[in-house]
Amino acid sequence: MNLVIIRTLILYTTTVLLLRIMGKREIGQLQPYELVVIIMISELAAIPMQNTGIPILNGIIPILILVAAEITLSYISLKSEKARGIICGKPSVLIENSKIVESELKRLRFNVNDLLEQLRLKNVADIADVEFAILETNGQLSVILKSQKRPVQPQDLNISPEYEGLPITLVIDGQIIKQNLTKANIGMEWLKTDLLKSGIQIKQILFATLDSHGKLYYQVKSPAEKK
Amino acid sequence: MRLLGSVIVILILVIGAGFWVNHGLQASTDDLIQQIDRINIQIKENNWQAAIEQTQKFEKGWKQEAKWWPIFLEHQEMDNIEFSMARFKEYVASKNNSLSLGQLSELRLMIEHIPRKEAINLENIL
Repeated sequence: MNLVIIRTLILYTTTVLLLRIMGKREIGQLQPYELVVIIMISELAAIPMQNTGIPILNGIIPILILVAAEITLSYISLKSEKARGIICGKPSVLIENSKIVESELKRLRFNVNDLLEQLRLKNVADIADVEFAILETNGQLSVILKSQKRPVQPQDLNISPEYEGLPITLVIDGQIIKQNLTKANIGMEWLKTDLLKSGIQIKQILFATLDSHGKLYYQVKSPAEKK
Repeated sequence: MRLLGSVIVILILVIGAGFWVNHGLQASTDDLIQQIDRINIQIKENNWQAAIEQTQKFEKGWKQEAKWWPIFLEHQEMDNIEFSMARFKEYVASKNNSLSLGQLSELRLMIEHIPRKEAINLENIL
């Protein structure tokens, strides 16, 4: 039993480390070859975990080889557009200039019901509102609405809103993030003074951010959590 | 680029380690097979005392080799060899010629099979 626990921890740590090296992608946005690697890695890690008769290297080495292959393919597709086309495929235009491209639907074995379903998932109820619909290489459908149907933007109303940058996180769970304080060009004293005005200490803060206008937003921990 | 370079280096090291392990397996196996052949001769000549001594030497050699084999080989293979060896020891102790030679033959095949199974050839790949 203890052997299984130790092997599980070793394989889990190794898999997490190697997946971390592979890089950041959401599961839904993986390319086909990346999805294959993820599925295979999970199978390869699971078998030696429970079967103590199999050497642990029989799990680790294949996972390492798969990660190496994935990284190599990623680099090749990064450097060569031709290779990218072969490895990842090319996006397919399903709706062009408001017309459904029948030949593409047929080639992809993608029927109209599938198309309508994907559009609904993108909050597009009426296919007539769509200018372009592109099936990406990761299987997601990108929808570009007609200019008359898309949401209004400030530019359309000749409005020039102020610049809005990313808010900077200053405190998480009572801990000050010092590098963000440096990034925001503010000192610890300013933060503490601002909070002390409201009679709050840093360790009572769940979350605090500073927006691009210098406004501080914070939320205090609930009484149960404070304990 | 640095990541790709590191990955390639690690790959080369792993492939190198693979060849080293295969070479080590073959060398260990050859050594054990030689000892088995010596035991075979002793049994055929009915030199039971020499066969017993040679068997003990073989067992010692096997324990030496068996230390690192489980890291790379399935443990069932190692267990099968140990079971076969246990039976062989008893047959030799009871001075049974046919059973000893039969069991020794099985033991030889099991040990020979290991590097053959790990060798890089089309049969093993497919």
